Amino acid sequence: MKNLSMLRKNSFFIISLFILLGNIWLFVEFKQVSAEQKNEAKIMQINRASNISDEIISNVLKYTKDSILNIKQSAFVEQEINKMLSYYRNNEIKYVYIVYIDEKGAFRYLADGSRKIDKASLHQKFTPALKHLWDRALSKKKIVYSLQDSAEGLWLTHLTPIVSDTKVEAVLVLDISMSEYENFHRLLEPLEKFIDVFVGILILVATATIFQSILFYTQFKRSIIDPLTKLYNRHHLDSIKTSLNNDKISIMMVDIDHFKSINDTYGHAVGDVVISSVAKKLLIATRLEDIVIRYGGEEFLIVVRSAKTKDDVVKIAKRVLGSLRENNIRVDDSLSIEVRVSIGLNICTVPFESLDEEIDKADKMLYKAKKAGRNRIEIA
Amino acid sequence: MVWFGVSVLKIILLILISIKLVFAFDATAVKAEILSKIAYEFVKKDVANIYTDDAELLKIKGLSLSLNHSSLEDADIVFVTQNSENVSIDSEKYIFTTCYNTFKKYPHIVGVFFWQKGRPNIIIREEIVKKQNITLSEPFQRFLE
Repeated sequence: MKNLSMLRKNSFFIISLFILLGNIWLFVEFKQVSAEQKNEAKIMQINRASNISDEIISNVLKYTKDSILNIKQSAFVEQEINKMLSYYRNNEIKYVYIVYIDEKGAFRYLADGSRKIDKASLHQKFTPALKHLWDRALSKKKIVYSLQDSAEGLWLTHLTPIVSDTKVEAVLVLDISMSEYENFHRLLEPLEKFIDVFVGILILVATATIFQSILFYTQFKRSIIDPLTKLYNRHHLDSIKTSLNNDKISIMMVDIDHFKSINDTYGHAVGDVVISSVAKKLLIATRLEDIVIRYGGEEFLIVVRSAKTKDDVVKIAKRVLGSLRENNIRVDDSLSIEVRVSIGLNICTVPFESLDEEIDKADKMLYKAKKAGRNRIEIA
Repeated sequence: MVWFGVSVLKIILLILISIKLVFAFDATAVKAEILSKIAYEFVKKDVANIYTDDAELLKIKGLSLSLNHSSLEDADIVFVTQNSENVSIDSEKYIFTTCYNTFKKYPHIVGVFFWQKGRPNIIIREEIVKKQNITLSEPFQRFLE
């Protein structure tokens, strides 16, 4: 019952935590699958591009004989090479061109198989956006590729250095268009981004709710806990009243005897030490299932639960009384005070009509104990 | 029931359109950004007056806060097309073109900004930059020709 009530109280926290963890799991899973598929498609495309590059270079070199730079020498050769490159242009390979490196290290077009609208002139300067990629191709003399994100309609750029006598003379560039697979993914990209944002917002909301739940729980705990004694206060009693109605309980009202004179003699600071020490003793003298509440200034209420017999309840009350009789309360090294309590005990008959009435009965018994000389138990 | 279904479909459609609008790649916005960078590099003003007769570049109107579209007379920087009547204007303004061949043809044109093979291209004439003592930032040095 208690667990169920705790679960209800923390349901926001638990649901938020599940939402948060679920979202993170979904997000990671989604990203992983998406990345794996993209990677597979990318590898396939690169292998295909590498084979085509080898074929193009071998054909071009057959035509230009000693050096690919011979293209510069003849407009006819240039035209033929451009035509040859254009044959390799298709839905997949959008642009095919060869770029050489001039004496200043700048890249310039040598041949271009592009359509008229995109065709560059011989020697036209080419400034690569991904310069580091080009530098890597030149220094390693190996095929280099990179995904394109700064060019319209392109998926990746594939660079093959053309080497002659250990020197890179030119670079064959294949600009790979978005394949059907990638096209499909690009179409889904806005949706993916939306999911990213949506999941991000959900994670944010769930995190905020968790923080709010923790904050709420802290505030709630603060509102039902007495700061001096760390016992429950009357707010807690109000909140559990309904759940106690059908329980077999007894109410014990405990009041510190002559507390006013302790306060007047030693001051409020000592009074506070006495109250918190009594609270500790009450906690030790009662059982785990009993609820100890600071009811008023020096007044405590103990809800004794699940005691089997009337004697068991009386035993607990005697233990409370005895715990204070045993030793004085030690305020500091030089001061210990004799503190006694009076107890009013009401062993409730089940079912009782109202908890307030039962508390009232215990209170009356407390009054009786006070009148009868204090430091004693009166039982209703 | 039918009414409910139609409403749900409308909402889904609206969401999809909104997603598309928010996340779509906008080449015009990229052009506007590049253009404002070129303008700042030469004019060195937070808001440069620009004049262009290029229909494609005119689309960037209002897309960049650092570009103010002005008349040819008030412009700090001018972008002309291949067939523009302003291609050979003799002025102290920075004249740019959007056609590579026009850039090659007219030596007074400072630079060219054009779209080729799905990507932006910029070439700046080093000779004019040196002559006019224009200081270009590091990223722009690689466009010198």
